[in-house]
Amino acid sequence: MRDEPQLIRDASAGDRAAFDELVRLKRERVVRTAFQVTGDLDDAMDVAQSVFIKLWQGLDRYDSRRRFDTWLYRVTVNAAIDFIRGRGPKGTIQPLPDDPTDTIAEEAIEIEARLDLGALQKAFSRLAGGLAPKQRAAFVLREIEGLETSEVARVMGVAESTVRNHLFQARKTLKAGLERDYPEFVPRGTGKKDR
Amino acid sequence: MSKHIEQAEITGFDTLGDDRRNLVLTHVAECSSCRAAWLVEDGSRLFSLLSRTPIPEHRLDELSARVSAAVNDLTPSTARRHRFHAAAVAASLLLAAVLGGVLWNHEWPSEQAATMHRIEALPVLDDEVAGMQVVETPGRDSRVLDLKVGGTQILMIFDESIDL
Repeated sequence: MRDEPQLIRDASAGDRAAFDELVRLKRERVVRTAFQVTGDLDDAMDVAQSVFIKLWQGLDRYDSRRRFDTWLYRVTVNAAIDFIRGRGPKGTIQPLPDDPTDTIAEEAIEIEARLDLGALQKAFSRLAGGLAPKQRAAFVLREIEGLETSEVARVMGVAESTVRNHLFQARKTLKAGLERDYPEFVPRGTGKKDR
Repeated sequence: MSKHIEQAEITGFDTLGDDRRNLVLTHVAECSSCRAAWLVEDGSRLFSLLSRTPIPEHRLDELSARVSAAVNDLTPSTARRHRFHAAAVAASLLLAAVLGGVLWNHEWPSEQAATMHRIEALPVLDDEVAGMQVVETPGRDSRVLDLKVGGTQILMIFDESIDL
């Protein structure tokens, strides 16, 4: 069993088995990030495929002194942003329709019923349609993927202050959208006293 | 269900390390009262729970298959590389044979070669060469020639120092 740095070294030397293992190791994170940025699982699959092909072609140029995941997030987010910019005249994300057969949402509902993750995913995909692509990417990396603000800045190639500004705008838009369109998700009162 | 989360974890959620953050997310996904308290700080935090959205395994396997096929198309297999090398060697040999045959059967312009040789062997101009008459020699490298063609007289001046 090879550890991640060894897999990266072997894959960059052209070892296909090592590369396939690396894909298996990183694919869920890449697809999830691309899905949250593009808002569509099929689009996310296309983005993820292009990311891994770029990885295969450019792995020999990867600087091992830098964090691999940061590099991978960067390639993923850039590919996803390019993808959604290619969609519409303003580069905004198309809100998802309320389709009851929506694949990932339905499958998520079955897996975790306590908080309706499927409904929450739909709400996010719809509300995030009102965000600029970079605001959406910053929010996904910080709030959903849980990266530090400094790492989000490295991934996006911008200053930390720019990331904080993107996050501020994204949170404001999403919070307002939740309260307006999805009040069932918004608690009344603190709830702290009831526990 | 795990015990309720602390107020400090609610207010300082953004500064929690990965492990603690995951524990808080696991708890608030199940506990509506803690979730309510946690969201009072920032309602958009709710979307942090999407980090738990699973991607269906069959879609991930589909991705691996697509990537593998695409990389195969980019990378010639060993067999294909060997076939390519063999074809390249065969093509080189064929080209060499064809060129060799063409060169072997080619008739070289021997008359032209002889002429070239004669040109190199021409002596220094005499006073009269092929109807031309040297009428003046102002310097070691200068000559004035008189060429008569029919009724026309042409004077030709040769001088290495003349810079055109």
